[in-house]
Amino acid sequence: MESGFHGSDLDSSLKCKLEESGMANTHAIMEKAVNWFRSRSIFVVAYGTGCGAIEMPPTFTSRYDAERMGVVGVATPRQADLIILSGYLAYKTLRRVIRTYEQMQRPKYVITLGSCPINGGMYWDSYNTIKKLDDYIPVDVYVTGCMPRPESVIEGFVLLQERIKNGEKAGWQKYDENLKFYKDNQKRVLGGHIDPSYETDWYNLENGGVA
Amino acid sequence: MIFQIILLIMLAYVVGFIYFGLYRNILARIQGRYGPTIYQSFYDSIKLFSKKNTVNYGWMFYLGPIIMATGAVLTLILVPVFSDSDFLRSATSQGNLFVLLYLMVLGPLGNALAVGTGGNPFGVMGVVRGLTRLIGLELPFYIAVVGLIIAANSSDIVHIIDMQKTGGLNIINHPLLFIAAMISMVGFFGESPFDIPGAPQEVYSGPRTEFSGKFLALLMSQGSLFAFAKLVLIIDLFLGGADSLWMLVLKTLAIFVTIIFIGVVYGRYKVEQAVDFLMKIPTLIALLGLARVIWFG
Amino acid sequence: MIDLSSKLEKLSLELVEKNAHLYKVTVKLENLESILLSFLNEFGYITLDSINCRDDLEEGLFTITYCLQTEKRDHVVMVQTSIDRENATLPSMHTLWPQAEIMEREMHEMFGVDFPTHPSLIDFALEYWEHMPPMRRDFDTLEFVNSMNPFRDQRGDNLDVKVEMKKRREEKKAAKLKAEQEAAAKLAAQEQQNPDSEAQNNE
Repeated sequence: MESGFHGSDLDSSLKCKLEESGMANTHAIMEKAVNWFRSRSIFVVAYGTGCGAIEMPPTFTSRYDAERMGVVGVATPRQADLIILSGYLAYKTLRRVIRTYEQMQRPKYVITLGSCPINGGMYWDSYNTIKKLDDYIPVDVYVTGCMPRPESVIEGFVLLQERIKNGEKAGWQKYDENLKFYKDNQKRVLGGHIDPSYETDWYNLENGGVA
Repeated sequence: MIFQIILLIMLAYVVGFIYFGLYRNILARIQGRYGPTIYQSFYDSIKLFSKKNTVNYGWMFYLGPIIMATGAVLTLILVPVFSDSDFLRSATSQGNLFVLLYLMVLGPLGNALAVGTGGNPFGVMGVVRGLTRLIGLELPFYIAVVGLIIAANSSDIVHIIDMQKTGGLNIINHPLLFIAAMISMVGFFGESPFDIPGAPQEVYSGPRTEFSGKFLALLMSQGSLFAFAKLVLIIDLFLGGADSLWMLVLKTLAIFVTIIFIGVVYGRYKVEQAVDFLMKIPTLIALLGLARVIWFG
Repeated sequence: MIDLSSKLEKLSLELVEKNAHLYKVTVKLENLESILLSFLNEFGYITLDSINCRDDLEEGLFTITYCLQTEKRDHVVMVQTSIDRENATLPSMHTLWPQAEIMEREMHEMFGVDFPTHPSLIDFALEYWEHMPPMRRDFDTLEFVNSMNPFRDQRGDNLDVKVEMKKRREEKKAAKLKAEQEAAAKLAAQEQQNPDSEAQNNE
């Protein structure tokens, strides 16, 4: 069972304890150090939604070798920090992407490739693809181009690493704060058929959230 | 003694992670890549420890990685690190090779319990494969160890090391036992051709599929501790132990790099192929070595 | 081919030659099943390439085409029939060619054609689709897309790129000109202020 949104937030409880004992400064230094380590080690789950899936293998293998920056591919969303959505998203795909994103553990980030997740790209008038991805899940870095070369993807990684290092507010924090906005949008296009319906009732979080 | 145990764990943690970073670098160079920094595993583990956790499957899921870490730490403190001095020989007097062999199986057991509670089908699949493979791995290793015990007339590791000082190294005296134990060791390190339990592209991360954040960090840490313990055990049994830190690093590195190179060259066996191979060739080699020990000394 | 056309004449059907590899037969809906059966069993058309649907909105018809091939794969015969656009119903051909099952499922989803004898008329590519089938011509794709996904506010998607680029270039040119003029005026002012130093420098 996944306990969903109201998971154990060890980080903030630690912060409270430290602030009580007058050690908020220590927490800030620790946070800075941890952010540096977070930026140096990014586990990626590459979700090949569109044509951009073909740019992933050269990015991670011998030619461009993202591992030298600490960016490594992992097999499951449970272990991942970053999800790469590489191209247009059909409604059917969006449903799976939302589920995958919600399985990832915080802090988590999203990078999208290509113009399709920004404004629909060349599929802007398709009956089956979405136009703006950031209505449904928060996006940290857009790598534009159709399709972006692996160099651009690596530049996107570097940008994300700098943001993590500086401790800037990331997409997952926005998602937690504006959960109603995102869930309403998801419900509008997916018609309420959002998996997993048996775990958490997203629309009745006030009533305990149990379906 | 407590101080020595803590120091030993810290040493094993650092050396194990640096070896793992080295492993990733060597792998990268073999594949024509630049590779990560040698400290990459530290970064990964600190990041994973700092992740938040929203996964909860009950107390057994939490306990599994802890049981594994317990097995690794107990194995570590029972292995004498240096041959001459008593330094870092933390709890060696409390146990012998039989206890050690028993403790080495504790990790997979804890893993199986936790993954079973998690209920992820890929995890369960990986655990079943891992336990099946373990049957094959243990047989040649145990026969090799029994051969050494008969040759040394003692199950005390310290005694086996001392015997090698006068009578020559076991790798020269009993090469067949060494070959059998090394083939098993490749499997214990999860290298190809015996890397079926956590095979990517097949069962995702196998037993680790459901573990995230802190659990994964704990698994990685215990993996590095356990790797160091196994390397030290091999050099104690066959290479006469190490009398200084440099000797320790040199000998463990030699064994580790050999294992990496074997792993890089070979493809992956299916689980029944792996057990089939391990039951035949290494077991036969180990039995020949055992016969040689019994009849020719 | 002469062989086939003589066989079809017995069934009082006409074989129209489109080109050397493509022929067409038009049949009535009530004869469709028996004729396709004889195509499979008597004439040896063992492969069903595809089932196509064309929406003739003006005539109120769906035109269905079955593309068939023999074992030799040297030509294609299209067996064509028309059905009413409202209450579109067809017999399922999955008993003759198993691959018809998935083609008919797609046709059901995209055009709303019903197959009463079909074993598994479930979702094909779309999920939980509640609107009009999207390949029908009276389905207004643009309106549907705009209602589901409005355009991004910050960006003027209806701007003409050529005009915008021209405007931007002119702005740039004007800014450059202005900067040059300012620099010239500044220089002139400097010369006016200290002509002595200028003269010294020249020496």
